[in-house]
Amino acid sequence: MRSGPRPIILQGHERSLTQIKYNKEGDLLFSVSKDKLANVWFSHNGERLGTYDGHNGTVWCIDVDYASKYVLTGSADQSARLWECRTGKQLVKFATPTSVRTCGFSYSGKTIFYTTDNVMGHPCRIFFHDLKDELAQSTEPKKIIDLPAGNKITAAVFGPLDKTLITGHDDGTINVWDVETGKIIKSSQEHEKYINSIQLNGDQTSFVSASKDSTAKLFDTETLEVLKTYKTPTNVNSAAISPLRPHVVLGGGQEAREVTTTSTRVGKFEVRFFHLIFEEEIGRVKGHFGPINTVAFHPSGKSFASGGEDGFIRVHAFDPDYYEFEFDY
Amino acid sequence: MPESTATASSSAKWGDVLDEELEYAHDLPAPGSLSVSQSIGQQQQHQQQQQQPTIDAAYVSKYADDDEDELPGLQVVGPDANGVKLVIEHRRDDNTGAVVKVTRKFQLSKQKTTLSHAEAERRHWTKFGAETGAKPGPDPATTIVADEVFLVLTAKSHELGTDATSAPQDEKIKLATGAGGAVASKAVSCRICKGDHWTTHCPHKELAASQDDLEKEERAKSLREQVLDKDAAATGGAQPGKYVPPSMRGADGARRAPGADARGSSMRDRDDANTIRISNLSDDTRESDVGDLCSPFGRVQRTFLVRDKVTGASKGFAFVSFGSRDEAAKAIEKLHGHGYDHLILSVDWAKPSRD
Repeated sequence: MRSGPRPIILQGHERSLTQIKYNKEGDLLFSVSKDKLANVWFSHNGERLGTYDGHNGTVWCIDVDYASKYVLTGSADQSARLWECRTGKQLVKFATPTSVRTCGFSYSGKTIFYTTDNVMGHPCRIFFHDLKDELAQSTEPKKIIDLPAGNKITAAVFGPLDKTLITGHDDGTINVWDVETGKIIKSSQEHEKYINSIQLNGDQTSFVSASKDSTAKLFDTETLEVLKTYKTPTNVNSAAISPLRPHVVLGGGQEAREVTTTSTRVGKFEVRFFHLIFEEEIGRVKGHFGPINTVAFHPSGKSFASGGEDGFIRVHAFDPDYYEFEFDY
Repeated sequence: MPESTATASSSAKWGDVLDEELEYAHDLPAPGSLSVSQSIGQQQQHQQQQQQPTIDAAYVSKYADDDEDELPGLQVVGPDANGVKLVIEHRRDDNTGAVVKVTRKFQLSKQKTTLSHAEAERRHWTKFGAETGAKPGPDPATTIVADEVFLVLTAKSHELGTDATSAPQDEKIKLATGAGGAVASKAVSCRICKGDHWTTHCPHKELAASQDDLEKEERAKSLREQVLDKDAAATGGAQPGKYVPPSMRGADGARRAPGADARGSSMRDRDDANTIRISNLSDDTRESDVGDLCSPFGRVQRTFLVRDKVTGASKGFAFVSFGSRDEAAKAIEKLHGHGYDHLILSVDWAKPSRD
């Protein structure tokens, strides 16, 4: 069988990956890990373009704007930082009271947000900034939302048209916030445990959430209705929707602290492909030696990348058979 | 390409595209991965190279005094019509001092990608951070090419492993109604029993299929008996003392009929016994197609589509091994003369190549 190109392994991190993200065109792949590094790679050949140096702790999140001009990272060193994508220069440092868990650009790139953890007596907070103001060197947030004590945001993305923020919480709640008023518009209690990631589909009409309760669920962005549920035997750390085929890719595995007690075979460290509509598992890809922390689809849908607890990123391109597969029901 | 990227500015219009030609090499049959990691990075012209260095024993000089400079330089032959290029290099072995000729064979294939102006411009960005001053192309320290992995997509999730998505039926329904509302389970109707589950999940699926199987089994049985009768005749006719090549020997060392059940003899023979040969396949047929074609007759253990060593094109025949001889016999009976992709298949027992 003639297959596609071989997978590329990116070894830029010494500790486990926390998030990977493609830019709009998919030619750049951004990755952050627990070893305070933020890397950017060319996705077509795995060449490292550069690193964003400056963080002093685990980097939890990374995002890039529509035009691939700015990069935003959030770290456990109690800061979120804005970088120039092309040069790796740090433009702004936002000091925060606690570590930054999630961050992101709005679709237009005009607004940025980041959320902080609820530790050391501080509540979990959502910060919004106007990017224009920030580049003019005012680090005043445009808006701050305080969450009730004991509630923490663990995953978040901007909703369509820059109007809403979708947040996943440590108790499994998913909320949609109005960015203007700072109020919760819709709330969903479908997951039972910690939400690990939220990723929108290409046109932002639906998103897939990955939870520790070993399921991933497809939600309607507008109504926050659960459309589909994908069940696995272990917790799901990340899920992404294919922009090309009706597939969802799930990354997960046992918790890191349980890994040493089992063999890799038992650990189920495989990326799982599910059919978007039929909720059936249709395939698996092996390769990681530990749980898969983060997965991302190339915007073309012709390749995908996964980052694992083992510190490696694997970039896979699909072979021609993949595009011909039809689910027989 | 470089000239067009020069016109690309940061305010590139979307939809403006430019062509970039990349050359990729596909795996030759026996993949060597010597310099793959260094070659994947040539930015514009990819000449990804698979090679097997072959040491040519005929070309070993014993004169250690020979001037090193006298070694012939790098010699490139081709690429020929099939895109096969030979690179011949002579070098001196560090330990023995002997001259070694290394012939590397490359399969070149062209792949065109279309880039937006923004992407094309980013390809020329200078490296920064930890990569400041690094050469263009991937650094083998951070970027390596992994072994191939296969993603086999199947609608039968139970084949993926024991732990597959085995959600209890009632729970699934609860999820669909409780959460989805509009996406209630009523939308799903089984084709076999009209129940509210997918056809693949129907508990009566086996029943519906078994009627068909019974008839097929009857026919296979009669075929099997015919084969066994013939075998008995052949074995009886073997004369003692006559040399029998190992590939033709049965369990007791006597000649066995070609393709007869050779349980107890070598691995090779056992494999061949349940293997059929399908010829007159069309060029478009792929290995997975052959598997699909044969899977109704039993447990397919191995499929092998014979390909041209160099071009990778199908040679039009394939070997399929079944779990048992009965299944193989059934497949021969059914598939011989069967029309497949505008050609009529010819199916027979695989004959040992040493014949």
